[in-house]
Amino acid sequence: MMICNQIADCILKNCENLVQGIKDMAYFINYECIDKDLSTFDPDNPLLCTQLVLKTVSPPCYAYCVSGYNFSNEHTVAMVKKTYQKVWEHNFIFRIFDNMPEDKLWIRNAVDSRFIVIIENNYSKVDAVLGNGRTVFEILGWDFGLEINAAERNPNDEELLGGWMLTAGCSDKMKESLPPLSYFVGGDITATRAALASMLAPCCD
Amino acid sequence: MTVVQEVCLFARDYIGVKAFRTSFRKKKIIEAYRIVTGKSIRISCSTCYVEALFAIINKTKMATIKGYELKKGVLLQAFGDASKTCTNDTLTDELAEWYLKNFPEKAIYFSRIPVRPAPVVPKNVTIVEPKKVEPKSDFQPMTVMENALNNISKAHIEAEKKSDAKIVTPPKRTTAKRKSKTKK
Repeated sequence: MMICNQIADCILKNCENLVQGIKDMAYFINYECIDKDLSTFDPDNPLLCTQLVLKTVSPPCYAYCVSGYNFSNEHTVAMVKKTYQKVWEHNFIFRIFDNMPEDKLWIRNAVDSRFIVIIENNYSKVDAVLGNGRTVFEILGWDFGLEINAAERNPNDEELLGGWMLTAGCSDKMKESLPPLSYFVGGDITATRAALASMLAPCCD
Repeated sequence: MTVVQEVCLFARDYIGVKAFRTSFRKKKIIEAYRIVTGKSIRISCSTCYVEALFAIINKTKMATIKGYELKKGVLLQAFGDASKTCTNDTLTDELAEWYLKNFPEKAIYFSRIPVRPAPVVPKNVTIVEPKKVEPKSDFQPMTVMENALNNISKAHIEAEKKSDAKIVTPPKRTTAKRKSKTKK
């Protein structure tokens, strides 16, 4: 009998205070741009991505920034129970506080594409042994990529004041096999930020 | 990085890929054009920005291109030596050569490795080039391949025939049956 995915560790009380929410900056990478052959994971934990590499193609691949405002980005993850297996629904809700033709073009392009999203959690756990900041960055949509499931704009909206609200998530049938991946490169948060910075598009500056 | 350097960096993408002609980059081009030429850019025509880009590139020295380049997102690390940690932004040619010398398996993480210059030949040494064999004008690799495959398959068939002939030797009783039939 094949034994796998059994509980093999304890979870002890976290003496730190959790910090809720994610940062306003999120990073979108086109799904086709990810070089899955060169990207690496922790050998003991498939949920810890230790290197995310982009393909070298033309037009060049980048991580594109989408900047929210005042904690306008939201993220949820939920397990979905199927008849035989359990899968994961990744969601990312973000808002664009503008309505320029360029914004509409961006939305139209995003609607027609699949992408992964790197989010930055406000909670950064201090861990002197394994490295500080392993809880900071997460990758959504590693298996199939996310897609825009809803795009809405109400000019009379009292909160958005005519901006756009977009919901990115999994396909209706194809869900992710794992929860969002932690992204932690080089054993510390500084190296992770440097690796992420090397992927950023020039428009992020 | 100055605006002009930034514009020089994305100039190739901007000219080549229409999707990269964003309003953000157009603003940068306007700014860089003003810095380099002291004039305002014309934005009435469809090619104004591209023309402005060429003007900027021609008037400024192109940024020196690094010999080695890492793929986006790659972080190189050497165990026990934090000074060797680098991404593409901090990579130097010396560091890249050090990695390739000590960890040749990391070559897969490089998107560009410059071709080494030709070796310097001392004056007293002469290099004799091998005779050039000119290929036949009617040389067609596909037909050569097909012929070779046909020959192999023919050889296989013949070999099978031979082996079959050995195994399926006419049994004696069949002849006996025939004889009995003919008698009837």
